Amino acid sequence: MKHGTVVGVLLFAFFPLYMMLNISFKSNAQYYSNSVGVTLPLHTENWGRAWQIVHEYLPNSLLVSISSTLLGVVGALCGAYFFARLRMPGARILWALLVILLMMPTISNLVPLFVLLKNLNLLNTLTALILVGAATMQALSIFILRDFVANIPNDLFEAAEIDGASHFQQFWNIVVPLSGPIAGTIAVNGFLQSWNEFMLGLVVIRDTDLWTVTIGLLRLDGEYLKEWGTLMAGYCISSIPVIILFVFTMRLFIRGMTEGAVKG
Amino acid sequence: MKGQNISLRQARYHLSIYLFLLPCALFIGMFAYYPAVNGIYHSFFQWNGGDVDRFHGAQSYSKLFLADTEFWLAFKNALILGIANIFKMAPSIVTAVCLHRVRNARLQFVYRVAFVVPMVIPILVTTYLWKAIYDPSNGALNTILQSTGLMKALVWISSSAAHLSENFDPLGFFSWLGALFRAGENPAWLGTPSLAMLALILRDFPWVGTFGVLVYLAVLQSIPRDIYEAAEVDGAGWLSKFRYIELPMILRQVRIMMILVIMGSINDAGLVMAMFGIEGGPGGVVQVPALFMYREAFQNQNLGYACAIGVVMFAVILICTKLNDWLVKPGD
Amino acid sequence: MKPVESRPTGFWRRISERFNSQRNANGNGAPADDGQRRVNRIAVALVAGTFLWSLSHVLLRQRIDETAHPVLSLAHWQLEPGIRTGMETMARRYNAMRRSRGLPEVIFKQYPISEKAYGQWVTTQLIGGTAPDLIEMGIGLPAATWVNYRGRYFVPLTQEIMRPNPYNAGTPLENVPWKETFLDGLGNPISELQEYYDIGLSAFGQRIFFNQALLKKLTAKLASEGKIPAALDEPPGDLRAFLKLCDQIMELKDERGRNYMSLAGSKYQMGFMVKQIIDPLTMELLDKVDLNHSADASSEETFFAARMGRLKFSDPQVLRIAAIWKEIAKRFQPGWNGLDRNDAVQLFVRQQCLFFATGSWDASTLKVQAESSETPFPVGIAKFPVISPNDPEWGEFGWGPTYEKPATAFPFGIPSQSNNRELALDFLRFITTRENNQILNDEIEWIPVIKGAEPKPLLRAFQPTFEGMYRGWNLELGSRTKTFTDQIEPLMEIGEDDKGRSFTILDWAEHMDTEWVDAAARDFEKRDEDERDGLQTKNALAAVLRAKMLLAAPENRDFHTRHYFGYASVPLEANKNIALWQAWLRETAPAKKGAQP
Repeated sequence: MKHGTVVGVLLFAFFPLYMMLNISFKSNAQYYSNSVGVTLPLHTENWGRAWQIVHEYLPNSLLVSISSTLLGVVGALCGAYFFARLRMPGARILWALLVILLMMPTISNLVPLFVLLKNLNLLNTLTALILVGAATMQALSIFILRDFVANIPNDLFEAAEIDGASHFQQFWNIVVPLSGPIAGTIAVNGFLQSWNEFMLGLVVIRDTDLWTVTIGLLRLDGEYLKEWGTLMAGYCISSIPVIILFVFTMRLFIRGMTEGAVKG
Repeated sequence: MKGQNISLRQARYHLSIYLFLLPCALFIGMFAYYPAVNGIYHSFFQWNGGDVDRFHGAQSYSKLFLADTEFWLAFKNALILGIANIFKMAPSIVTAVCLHRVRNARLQFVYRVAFVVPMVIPILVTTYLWKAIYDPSNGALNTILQSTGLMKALVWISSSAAHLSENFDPLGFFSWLGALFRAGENPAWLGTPSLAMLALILRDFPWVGTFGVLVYLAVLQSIPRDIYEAAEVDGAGWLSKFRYIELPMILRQVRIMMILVIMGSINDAGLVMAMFGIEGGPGGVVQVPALFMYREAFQNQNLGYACAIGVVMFAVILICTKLNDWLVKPGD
Repeated sequence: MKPVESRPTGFWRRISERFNSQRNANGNGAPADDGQRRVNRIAVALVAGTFLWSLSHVLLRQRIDETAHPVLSLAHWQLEPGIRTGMETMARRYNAMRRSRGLPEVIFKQYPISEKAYGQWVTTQLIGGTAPDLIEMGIGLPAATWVNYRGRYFVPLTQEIMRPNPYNAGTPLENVPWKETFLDGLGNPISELQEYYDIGLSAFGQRIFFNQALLKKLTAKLASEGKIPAALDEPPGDLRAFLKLCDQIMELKDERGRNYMSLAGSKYQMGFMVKQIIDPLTMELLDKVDLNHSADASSEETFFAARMGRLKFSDPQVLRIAAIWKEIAKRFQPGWNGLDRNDAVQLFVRQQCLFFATGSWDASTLKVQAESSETPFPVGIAKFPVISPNDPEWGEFGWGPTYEKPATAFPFGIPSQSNNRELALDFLRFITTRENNQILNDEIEWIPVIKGAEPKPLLRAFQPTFEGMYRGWNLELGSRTKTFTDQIEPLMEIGEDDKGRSFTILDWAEHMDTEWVDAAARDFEKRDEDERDGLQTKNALAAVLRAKMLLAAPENRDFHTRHYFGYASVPLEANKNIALWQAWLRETAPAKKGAQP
């Protein structure tokens, strides 16, 4: 019975994936007549058209997501070290501020954020997306990472201190290597979030050659007579980098989630 | 927070650690805090995002509390959705337990890999899918209901509820139920005011989130083997094992997630907007507070008012968190 | 604990010992095996490589040198491909013209933004100061918001349109003021601002599209059953007969056992039926609503009339109109309210429904879709049915067809913050010559808007009716009234509210009499404030024009003088309206405090 449940759930979970692939090979007429089954002939030109549209946006998306994830993880790791290593004066207040930040509705920030970006002359640049993406990642990441750093036994740190290591050396030699799996999980999450994010980009980026893949696909969505095949092919193409990412970080999800997730 | 308290005097020796705060302080301070504070500041203004910036005190707040009943109705909607979402966590838990119990280690590994794969699917794709399913004339839901005769059962439930409501109608529930399904009609899930909320709640059947399953699985796998063995020695069947060993662990995690779930339903406008559009469904029935704020900001250009709404939403969430802490702490 | 200054040599060894033991204790799976380490290295290499590739791509992307070639950017929400290619053709012709005159070519950028995001995009671009040089106006935001934006952010073109279009030289339209070269003379200025801001490029009409083959087949079937006299080639022109036919069609089933639908509906389609069939019925209300005797009903007049009690939604006449409205809504397929344009089009293309109300902008798309579907079918175009004066129940409204203005649409405005205002204006002039407008509209398959240009044969059916009825009320004063009507009209049309309780026409009238008037009051206040805010911008612009006039070189002084006085005299006109509003405010004030019936 347990196998039955699990397999059943998996079927439902894979259904959208199947549909995405299936529809990407249909022409509109095929889609109307039979949306669920596989229809022949397979219209591979949908993928060609989707690639035409999407390939300009891929470098943008990749740049933004990778950069913001890297910056986010580095910033969060440093911040977690600060909060977890020693209870410095003032840390309590800062921590409370951080927790409060987690609860703020982000939508109302959109306009002041926009005005801020305008004043910094960052409108219509990818840098804006990178910086804001990194900032958004921070709160939750610091939360999780702090617990993790706090769980590293103190003796390691104390030993290093005795041997004369500065805080930076302690950080670099102890925290960073140990944090591999958990930082990886956070990085993957951050990457996914940044990849799928479009609200800010829609508002900040005006030049079409700076659009990210998600925004570009939204444009396809708005077409009057939706070309379902091309649309789904576009989404498939945009999922490919994510799939590659998952292949490499599979281990993390299978094992690395034991850290941090339970305590969190 | 671990470690000993560093007093101000000792802090001298650890000053370099403050440097670690710099990157994240910069990011968060500039891109998260400043806009938030700016938002609070502007909530006392009449602002259109550009040149109009008039101070008018607490007018936005008084308007919100006295004149805009729509907003508080939106909170009711968020509450309903939040509670529904909490119940929707159950299938994930059940699946995690089933997965945990699988004895064959290789098979379990295969399953786990399989659970990771669907995370690749973009959210918009599932939205399209569900909109197509809810389509009244061609959608899968109505087709299935009609062909399996479930439709008739639902119509019967509705008509009996309608009769019942004439005598006994707590909270108007029975009259609502009575009007839901009528004979011979294809219910319009996204177009009928009474069905819209139901459609939103029922979305994503069977309500198993793959990420959630993996998190619960991690929780379950941290339970040491000996407890299981002890239980077996005591002759516990699978149900008791579940109730006494696994459930408490999971419930702890659930309590932590609960506040996040309710916060999410108040803060998130994207889901409702994707399914229903910016007015929040027919008659505005599925408006959530975040959608209301988004509309005020970007359609009605009342940015100062929207900022005030944001502050109020934040206050409500703060209260909820405090409540959650107060309710959860003793049991933990 | 004070850190020791020196660094003993055993430091690294001890650290790595403790550290490795820690790792193994944590069960962290340090990459103990080479295979895993190799995978990790590949991953890192992949990430680094991708990052460098995308970085180089982004940085080396051709950054256009804006000093040599001016850049003209244009934003619209028309995502049909014909528009984009049409605009590109125009750009090519424009550059060819510039080349021939020795002017540098223009680099042309189009920003097609989807309809759903358009309002928000325009708002943020205008606020952020990054707006393109030409923006398509009128969609994505309530009409009142567009009025505000025009006053605040856009360049008034009133003076420019009074002068002839230089590109018309050599044609019969040579000395005709630019305004008059348009079919409708560009209509009236934006009434609240008393200025022109939009230049339109196409005209549109609305009709009912129908599936010719299906109509013949179904009516033949009905005729064989004796329900109607004979098979039809066209839908009936009488509203009652039309609705009856819809009912009969909805009883028929197709091969899959599903009922046919008569009117393909969505929120969008409902708007058309209301505008074309219902609004003209309100013309009788004109004498109650038209307070300034301008023979049209503006939204403010509607509001004041309602507040004065002259216009009551619970009036039996209005209720009768609403009853007809509801009758039409009944013939839409169930669930119409949850669908959007695309879904309704799908129903039509899949041959599940017979009639589809939309505008000429969809004509070619529908034809193409119909012809390329699995079972191709011809698409017919018919006028909206009207009420006959002999109708037993509705005869009082049988005054004939709706008046159709050959209205210029597909309008573009120029934001004042743009750096290429003159260039944008020049481009607009260029594409509104008869020849170019014809070429543009031929490519898009829309109706051209300059006198003398002919639409394609497909679009001839959209010849406007110049004599007919028009609406006697305008219920959209601003964002609150729009939201209110958007929320309450479906309730009335469907017949029930969110609790499933019935929501009748009387309920609708009651809500309109009370809540709509309140919403309208708040919208009016906001509009008032916005106009006062806009006054600052107008004054600033007037100051600039005055400065230009005073500092102009002698040969230009005449032009600048005319420009300044032409502009500065306009507020005097606007003041007339303000006096009227204030009079009505005074007149209606006591009624506000008294009890509302």
